Amino acid sequence: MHKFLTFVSSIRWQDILDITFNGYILFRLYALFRGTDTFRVLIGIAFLWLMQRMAVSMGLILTSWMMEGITAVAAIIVIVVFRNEIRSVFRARNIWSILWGLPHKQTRTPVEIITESVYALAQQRIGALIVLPGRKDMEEVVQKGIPWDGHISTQMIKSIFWPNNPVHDGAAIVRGDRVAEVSAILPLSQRRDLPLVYGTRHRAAAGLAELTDALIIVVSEERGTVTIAKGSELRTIHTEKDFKLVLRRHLGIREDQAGYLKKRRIELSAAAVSSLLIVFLVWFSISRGFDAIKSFDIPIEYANLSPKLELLSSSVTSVRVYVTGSRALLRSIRPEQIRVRLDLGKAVAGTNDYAITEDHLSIPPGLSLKEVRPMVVDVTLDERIRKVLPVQADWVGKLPAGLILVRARITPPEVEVTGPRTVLDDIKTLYTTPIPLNNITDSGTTKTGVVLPSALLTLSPKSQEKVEVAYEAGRTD
Amino acid sequence: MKPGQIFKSIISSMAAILVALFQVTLAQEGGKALPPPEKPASLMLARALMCEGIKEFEPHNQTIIFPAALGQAVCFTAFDPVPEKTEIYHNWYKRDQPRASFKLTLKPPKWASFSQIRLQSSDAGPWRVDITNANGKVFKTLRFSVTE
Repeated sequence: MHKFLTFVSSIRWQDILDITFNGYILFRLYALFRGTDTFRVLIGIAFLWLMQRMAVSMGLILTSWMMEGITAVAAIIVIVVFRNEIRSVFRARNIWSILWGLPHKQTRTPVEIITESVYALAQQRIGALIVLPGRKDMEEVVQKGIPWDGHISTQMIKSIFWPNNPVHDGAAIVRGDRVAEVSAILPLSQRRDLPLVYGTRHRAAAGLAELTDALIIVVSEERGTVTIAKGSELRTIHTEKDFKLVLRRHLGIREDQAGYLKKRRIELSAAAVSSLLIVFLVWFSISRGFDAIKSFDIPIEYANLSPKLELLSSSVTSVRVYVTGSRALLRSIRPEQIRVRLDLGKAVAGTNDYAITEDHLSIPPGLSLKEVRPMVVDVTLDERIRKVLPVQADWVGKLPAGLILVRARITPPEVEVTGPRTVLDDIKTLYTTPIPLNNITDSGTTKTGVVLPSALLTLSPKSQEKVEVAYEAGRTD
Repeated sequence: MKPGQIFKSIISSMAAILVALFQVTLAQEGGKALPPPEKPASLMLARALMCEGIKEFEPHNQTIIFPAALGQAVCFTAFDPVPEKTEIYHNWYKRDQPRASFKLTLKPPKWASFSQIRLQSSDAGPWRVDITNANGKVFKTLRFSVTE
């Protein structure tokens, strides 16, 4: 239970976004491509990828390498081979329908009109070939006919296939409630097991059915029968009732529409949950499956130091922090994202020992602390005081021959500095920056800075950074 | 190591330390005697300076720059009045680090004395001499530099 809670608490908001985003992409792929060959091949590629990950985890170097190559090649093949199917999915859709909408089969196709027309044609022994496309693209296999785009009606269908009509040869393609094309040429089936009574029209219907998921209606002018081709099946339908049933099934029209919608909702919900679950498992395998340890040298930050105290020294300026987590996460972590912060609010003058614990560390979510070296840091503090110190000139170089400096006066003679007591206790004098003697020929003045012997010391605001040195020169006796 | 030992070793390492005591009356200097004080006066530092040497009981070439090649630095002090026999100290420091300490005895009614150190090129840097009494009270601090 503790491990579970630890795991849950380690999930970052970025992880949740990651899983949700990719889960939605997977769900959209399912929604857009379900029922198509592309979807089945995508599942195959996903399986290959899974195998590759398993091979990696099992240390099968050659297998994993081969699987990786096959997966990459397969992905390219899918795009090339199924380009038309992919295109049909995205064609005629706006970005919103791709991201959000659900593909629906044509539900407005007037089944009654088609049934009535087909059986009327059969009764009159007028041959007809009608295509109701599925979700697969037919562009590659159907020779484009004459655009028609007419609202479907019994009279229109009858007139299209009327023997004296110039467009009665070929197939009529019905999309929704419109006749989209007429005189379309369908590919002929090469099957040898078709009954001999089937003519060109039936072979054309079988040919298209084999290559796509369309439903093709054939009306035989010789026998006055109605045959439906779908997939590899050619079936003669004798009653209008059975015909309507087949049509409705193909078009996704249910008698029990409410029940159908409920079933569809359940299916989509299950797909959404499955997508999230699959992505979560993939994320888990990538981000958590291969934990690693990485060390970072992190400088120690000190906080809440009393203004009356001065940080003199610490045993170390940085600590080495060992963190564990997924390799992917560790690779993306920069040292600046880890912080070691010591609260000196309760520290006193002298040496303070701090044991570095998780409370002192700030580590990005998803990573956990393994070790800190050194574990204890000694921080030496001292009382911050002010002290007035005399300033003395630091002469360097050589005076010209015969010249001496009798005396020098510094203005101001003293400056106030602030710093740790232990440092200031040992300092009795401050010295100027070196003043060269070589150029001095007579009495004069010069301005120079004051050297602070420790970086822990600062000049009080009221003290000047520069002092004036007035010197009196003389001659040797 | 105790400060006394440091001073002892430093003193022994000096080539020569001259501690001369000589009594000079102000009458000799000024040509006439001062009237006796009405009440016992406290010890007063009348003169203090750094010089290159002592000539005829007087400081020679007062200066604050001592080239190491000069070989020596001298601290001259004169007290007036000296109410009673007492001891003063010349404490020499280089950059706040004690380098030498000389105990000098003063005798009434006035007294002048000096201390000196040998110089080497390694002594280059800012120096000071604290002139103190036995209790550590500083009468005056003289500051100078030794140059290479």
